[in-house]
Amino acid sequence: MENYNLLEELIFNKPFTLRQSDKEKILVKIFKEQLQNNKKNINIRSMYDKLGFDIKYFNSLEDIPYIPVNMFKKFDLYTCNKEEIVRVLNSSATTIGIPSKIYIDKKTSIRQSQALIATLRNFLGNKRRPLLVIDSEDANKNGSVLTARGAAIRGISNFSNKIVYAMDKDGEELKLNIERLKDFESQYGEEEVLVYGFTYIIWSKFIKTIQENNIKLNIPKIKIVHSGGWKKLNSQRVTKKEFSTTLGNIFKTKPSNVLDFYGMVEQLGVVFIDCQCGYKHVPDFAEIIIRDLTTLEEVNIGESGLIQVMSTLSSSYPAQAILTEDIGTLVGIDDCKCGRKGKYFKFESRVEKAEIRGCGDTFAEGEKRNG
Amino acid sequence: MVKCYTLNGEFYEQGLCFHDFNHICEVLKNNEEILQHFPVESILLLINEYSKIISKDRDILKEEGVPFLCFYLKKANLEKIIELNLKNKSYLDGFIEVGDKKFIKAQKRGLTCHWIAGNVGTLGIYSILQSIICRNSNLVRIPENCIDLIIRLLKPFKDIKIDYKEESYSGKDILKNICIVNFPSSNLQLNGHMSKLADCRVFWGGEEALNSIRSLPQKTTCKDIIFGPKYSFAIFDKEAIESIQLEKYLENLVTDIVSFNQKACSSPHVVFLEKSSISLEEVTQRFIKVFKKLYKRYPVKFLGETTCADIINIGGEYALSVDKMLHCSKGFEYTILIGSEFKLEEPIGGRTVFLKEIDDIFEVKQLITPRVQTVGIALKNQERAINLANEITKAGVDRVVKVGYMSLYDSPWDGSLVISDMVRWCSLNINGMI
Repeated sequence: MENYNLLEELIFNKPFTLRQSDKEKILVKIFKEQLQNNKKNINIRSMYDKLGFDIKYFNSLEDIPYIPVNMFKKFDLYTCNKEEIVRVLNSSATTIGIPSKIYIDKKTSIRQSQALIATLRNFLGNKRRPLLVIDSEDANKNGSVLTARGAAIRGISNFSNKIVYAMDKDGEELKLNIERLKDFESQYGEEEVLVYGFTYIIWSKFIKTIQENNIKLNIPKIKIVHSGGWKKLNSQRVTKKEFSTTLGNIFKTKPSNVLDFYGMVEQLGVVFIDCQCGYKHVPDFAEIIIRDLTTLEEVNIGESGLIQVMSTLSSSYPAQAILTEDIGTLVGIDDCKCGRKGKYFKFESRVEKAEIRGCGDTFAEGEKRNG
Repeated sequence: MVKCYTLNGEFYEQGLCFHDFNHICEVLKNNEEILQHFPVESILLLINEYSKIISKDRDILKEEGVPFLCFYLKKANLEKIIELNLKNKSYLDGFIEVGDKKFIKAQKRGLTCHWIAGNVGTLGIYSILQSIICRNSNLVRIPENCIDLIIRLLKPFKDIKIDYKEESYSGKDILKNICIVNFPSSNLQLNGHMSKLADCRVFWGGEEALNSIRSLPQKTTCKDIIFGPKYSFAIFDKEAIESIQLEKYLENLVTDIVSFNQKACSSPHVVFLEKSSISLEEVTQRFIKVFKKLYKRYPVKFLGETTCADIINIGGEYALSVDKMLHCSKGFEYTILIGSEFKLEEPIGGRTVFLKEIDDIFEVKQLITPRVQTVGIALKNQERAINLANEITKAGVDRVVKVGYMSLYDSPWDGSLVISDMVRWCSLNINGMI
């Protein structure tokens, strides 16, 4: 029997209220049961055995074996019965061209939606508002396979009373529908509205077209939430500050109304949104461990490392400890001026994938062998 | 923009900025003549003195590869290497008769341009000083991450003076023939200019960089010495595994693995173990014990984000695969991966090694390509070692050494006698003329 009530409490309570020490105790209790369930998957069982991990005796979150995020591309890591899977989430496949496969059962899907809503509510309030999605309707198609973009749109749409898609799909390309955008402005420009978009699409398609066509918008009471695609933007040397300022100017609003949210398809339902102090907070039903790049142990406050995201939301795949390829800095614990408890951190960058390897770089003979 | 860190015997820590190599080249050209009056013995004495100085500098000795560099640059060692390369070091000083009034001399090639890789910090010094012995002047592109070490390593030359046959010789004159530069590797114009100036191009690096340098314009008379991407592995035979020396062999193998963060072309990535009465699991446990014993002596340094991610990913893959085995430390002290696939695995680095059991060590022949540089061996029987070396070098391997010696620079290297390639062999034939 799962620690059902405990988990439901975590999800339905205000999500940033638990002090770190209390939270850890609760999470260990919930995870013990979930990790046992993970052993239904032959690959995960093999991993726990090889690492000598004994679920009965662990008492620190740091000790839970993490699954590198790329393993969701290589293995079918479902921990429920196959017939219980209601949806397979696919990542954006940016790193090696193969998408992750995240298997979702009904229970997980519901919890993820509830958790996402609880977190967003904490930042956006309860009020439903018109939502402008800087994407095409195709990104949120119904079906058994859903992309990260689609999943995020679905989550945000819980806060909307009207959804307008600002872009159309033209073949493989996304094109801004300027007329629809202007209509949205004239209809809702005076109201409190929400905008959501994929960071890279906003920068490369939306802002570009707006600037090329010299379009001016005036929607000051806006909250713009964006996520994903920082890897591509970093390669173009676009900073978060530059992004927020440019986007704020376009909508004639303060850059502080542009909210970056960090999340991943492998941990749907767990999102980290900038607080007013500019830091990302961990909801009570999840945890992060930032691991040092030399020792893989948890870093001290002020230090950077690989971000491990831990979630209690899943019963269908091993979400309890996923090591990302993102670098973050642990800023503090329990004491952010915004009042939220638990750990808070900054997202820094994706892992740098180009490094000097010199004359010992590879065995494969160029394209011939790889191909 | 070219940043120049040493020119005309002086050091510029912040780097002098030039738009091209014109001024640098003029200075090197002027100084080249000085070196032509140095007997090879005086050059070797200066280098020997230099090796003594750095061997007493505790700070610089802490840098990876520097202790061996000190040994390598000792006069006695260099003399052996020159003898192996040229047969007689006197060829460097004058025309030596080889019979019937035929004389030969090893002349300088002129300006040697070096493109040095960033994986081994001391690499530049080996490349430069071998060229100096040949009396070439040197324009050296050093990657940004190695400049500090190379400058620290070169500095002692400035104050060295030796006497030889009543003449004084100065290390500063050697320095005057070395110019250390850096510019973006993607700058085709500067790479092209440097390439066109070269009488000898020495290139150390990976495939992509190698291909881009190869396509640069060059003098028709230019000699290319290429140290491209290479791969290395180790073999333990049954007798060695069953011997009481197994632990020693494993210790030596670990030193090869930890050297240069396993990024050298001579670093082993796969270890083939011949089936023996000792199980693979037992050998692995003893291997782990050795790694643990050597932790303190070789603490883990930052590996770079890519290598960390690669180790985490391959570890995850082996942990989750039901038909593979993983043994690893909590951090990056060691990662041992065991699988049954008979292949040379792509290098991961950062103390990651693939163990594979084979029936007979000679099976590895099938895997060898000219891309394999060094094979480290642990064998108990010399005849078997020679037979194995014969078979695998025939298939493409350049170097077979006992484990523990894999990452030590040696001559020949990558199948090349470097000093011999850095000179121009000239002849004089006057038989019957006088």
